[in-house]
Amino acid sequence: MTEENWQAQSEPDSSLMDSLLRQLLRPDVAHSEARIGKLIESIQQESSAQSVLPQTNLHAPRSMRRWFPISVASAVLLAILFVLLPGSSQKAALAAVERSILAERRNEAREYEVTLVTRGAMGWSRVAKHKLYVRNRDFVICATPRLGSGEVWIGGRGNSRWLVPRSGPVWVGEENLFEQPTLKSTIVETPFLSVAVILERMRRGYDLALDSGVSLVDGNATFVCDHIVGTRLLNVRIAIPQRVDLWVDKASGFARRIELKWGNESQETRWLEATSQMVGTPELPADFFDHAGHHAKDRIVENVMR
Amino acid sequence: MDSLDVFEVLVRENSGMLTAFIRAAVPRDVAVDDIWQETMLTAWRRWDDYDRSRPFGAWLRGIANKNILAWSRKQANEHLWCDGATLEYFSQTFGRIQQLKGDTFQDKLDALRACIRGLPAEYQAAISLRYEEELMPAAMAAKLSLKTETVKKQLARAKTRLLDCINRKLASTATQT
Repeated sequence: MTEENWQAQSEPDSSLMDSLLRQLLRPDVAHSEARIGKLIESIQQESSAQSVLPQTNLHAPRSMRRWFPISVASAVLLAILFVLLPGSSQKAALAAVERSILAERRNEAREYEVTLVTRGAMGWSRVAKHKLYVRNRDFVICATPRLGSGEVWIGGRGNSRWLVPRSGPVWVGEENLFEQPTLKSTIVETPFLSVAVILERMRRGYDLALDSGVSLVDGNATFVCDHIVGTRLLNVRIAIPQRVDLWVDKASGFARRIELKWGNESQETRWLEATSQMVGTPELPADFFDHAGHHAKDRIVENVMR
Repeated sequence: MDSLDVFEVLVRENSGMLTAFIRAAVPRDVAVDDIWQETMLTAWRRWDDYDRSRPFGAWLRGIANKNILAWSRKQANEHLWCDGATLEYFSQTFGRIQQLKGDTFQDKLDALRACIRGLPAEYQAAISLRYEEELMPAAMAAKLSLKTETVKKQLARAKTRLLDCINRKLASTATQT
């Protein structure tokens, strides 16, 4: 038997031993813990989405390292968790949140600037931005994962989901579209979810407080808002935000600004901060929430069925 | 304890095993992570289908097999050797490793650690430099004042001996059960 034949025959065994030796001698516990935390967080988001908005799949697969990490959300994020304790402040805060939930269901399109701060592999912070457009339960995200690399458009209407990458085919499918392995490298991840979903998901873990009639200055405009602050209870899984601030426009009921902060002690999640700031209520083309509104007519469209 | 709590416990117990299993078949770390996530999420979504009389690890490996093959099919420009038969071989080997003594997968791999201690000194050094210090063969050769080809042969022979050793331990465990 020649040396070449010997090596070719033992390739699976060689790979098997490589893997076992690496697991034994260099197991990377921190990476494993972070991965498990992200998995559980994804499951919790997905479970909440299915319980409140059955046609909306909030889970997005983990991003590839060459894109910044984010998972698709269906609408503006509101990480509000509250305990239904007797007390006028809690009830008033709940009423303000519910008003915002109702406003979310209107057919008026809103634009948000989303800023995400995550912890990188070496401990430094990484900042990413994208635009989010919502109209009732329809959503569109516009992101530029790498400077100068072009835009990625991701959206959903009802049960359908679509993805328009910088190049290559357009992908269209159902709620599980973003779980396709080939699409994971282009998925944008955001913790911003619909108000109703976050409310359901966080119902047991936050204490709510309301500060009514707060002025929120945005450029040259000032909005009078209800400011709701959610503080995570100690017995809740620490992968969810430690604190949530929501500013609800008293005139329109829209969430004008949402801030999420995760505690620095948490190593179970990459998230540090996330902010969604309402930019306005733009007039959008009729096909904006369809993929056709974001690519040339002759682009190949791949339909991915379940 | 609700379903997710139970699932999380099982995830933690089997995470290392699943990582090693996927890594045996998939050459890239980023792909290993993605397939790991995909497999665990599929397991959660099919949680109601899980037959509690079967080991959870074996069920996970079955799901991982499908995801690995799907990933392989999409790597159009690469020659990848891992096929269904190889994955089945890996599954059986990992199933036998799960029979070894130890509470965790890491504990069960202590059998492999004992095998390393039984190697000649130069082979032990090669294994330590390659897998603990993560040096490539050229760097190992410089450190050991050897030729790179010599280092590669030492590593290959060390791994062959380790595989023989662990297979003997697995066979010994099988005859005892």
